[in-house]
Amino acid sequence: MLAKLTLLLASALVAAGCHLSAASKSAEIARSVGRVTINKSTGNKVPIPLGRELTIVNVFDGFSPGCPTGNRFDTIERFDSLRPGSNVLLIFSEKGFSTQDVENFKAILPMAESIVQGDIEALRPYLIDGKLLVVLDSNGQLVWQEKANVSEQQLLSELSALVKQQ
Amino acid sequence: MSTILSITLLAVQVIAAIPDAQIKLKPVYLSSQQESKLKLSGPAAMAVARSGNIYVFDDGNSRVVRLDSSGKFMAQFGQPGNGPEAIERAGLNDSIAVDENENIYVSDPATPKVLIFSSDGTFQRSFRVPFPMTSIAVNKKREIFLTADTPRSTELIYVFSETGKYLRRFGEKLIKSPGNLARFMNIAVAACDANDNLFVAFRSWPLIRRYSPEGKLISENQFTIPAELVKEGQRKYYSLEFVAQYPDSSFMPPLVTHSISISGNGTGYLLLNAHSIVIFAPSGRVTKQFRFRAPRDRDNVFIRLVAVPKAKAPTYLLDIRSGEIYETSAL
Repeated sequence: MLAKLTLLLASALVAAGCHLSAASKSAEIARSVGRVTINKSTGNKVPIPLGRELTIVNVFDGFSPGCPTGNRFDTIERFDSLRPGSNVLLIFSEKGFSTQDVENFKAILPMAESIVQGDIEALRPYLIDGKLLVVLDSNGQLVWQEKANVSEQQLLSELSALVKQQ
Repeated sequence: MSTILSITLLAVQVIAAIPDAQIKLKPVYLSSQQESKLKLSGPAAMAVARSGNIYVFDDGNSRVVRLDSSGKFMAQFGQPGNGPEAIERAGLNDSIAVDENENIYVSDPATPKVLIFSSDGTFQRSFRVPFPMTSIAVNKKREIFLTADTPRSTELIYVFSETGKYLRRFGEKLIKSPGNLARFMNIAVAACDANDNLFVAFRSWPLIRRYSPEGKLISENQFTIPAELVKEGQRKYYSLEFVAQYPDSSFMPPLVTHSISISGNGTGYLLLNAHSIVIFAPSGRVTKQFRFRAPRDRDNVFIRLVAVPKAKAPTYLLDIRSGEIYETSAL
């Protein structure tokens, strides 16, 4: 009986610890997103512009072999076609991409107006395979964040469901 | 009407027996006979300059190796790791090209980026692209052609300047539906001829396209799928109609066009499934197709057949498994 109680207590502590840890990580990411800036054509660096509803932000520092770039761009493109008018921002790091790279992406990818370069260093510790997708509300609060080992299809479903709720 | 007829004809493949032929294979570089630092590890791609120098993308060692035409090791460059100068992995992609001035262009589909080295191996620059690429070619104007591997229904070929500026794109995909099989069928390899025409062959569909330097489709020519590759039960699935209808099917097309290369006189070469060669005229019309045998005591898996970009020059075969290079004359 004592053993069962101990096990139960231990399980509860682990669960609470995980929950606190996840919540704490989310809070850290939320704070870090607030420090991300994007480069304006004037040369100024400004915080992420927020929409009246949700803002979908994907930062990129690089692309890992297991996660071909095209997949994420495809996901964002499909999301954009499912939810036209959503506020989407693709931020490419200054360390990982040259200005010309970003200009090329604007010319090649279909969502040119959403593509910017910026300082994403605050988010670097939280990148998953060189990138991270987060959703912010109109106050800049973190509503949703990408998790590791989630397929692009699942990510698209979660994102669509989230936006649909609004 | 003629366009419709042409498309209909090319949507049906030809599967037939092809003849065997003897070709002379002269060993140029045998990894097994080299000291350890000179051994190639999973060499993925090869390009040959007008000078005769041979450049090998030594994938397992994240480096480019330069050999002279006799196979003597001359230099190596490139490095693993992260950053603009780092080469990650090419996988099975045809990822090296060399221009007239012997600048070397490497596509790294893992990151994905293009790296440019000068003839002495000095890193010049690199630029990122928003998709993995399956092959790289460069023309006399040093425009860089990349065949894109992307599920998006865009063009097949993307062109960049030597400084990495995106210039244009062209070429229709075989299958426009999204899906893994469709994506696989759209994988292509490309090579430029001396007049800056671009030749494109699909990895798993027997078609050679010739584009003008501006990207206008000039011709499409078919070759034969060797009958030995296709099992009887596979034939009903092996059509563009099937792929268009079931773009996510698990069917794996048995044809693998490993590489395309154009010699200095405009003759083109495809290497299929390690042991078959298709030869085509400067127009793109297929003139010869045959199967060849590896040397008797070897079990080679050839993945590249590369022509020297000058007239009356040999071609070279690269084996990915043992890191062996052979000169093949009089193809």
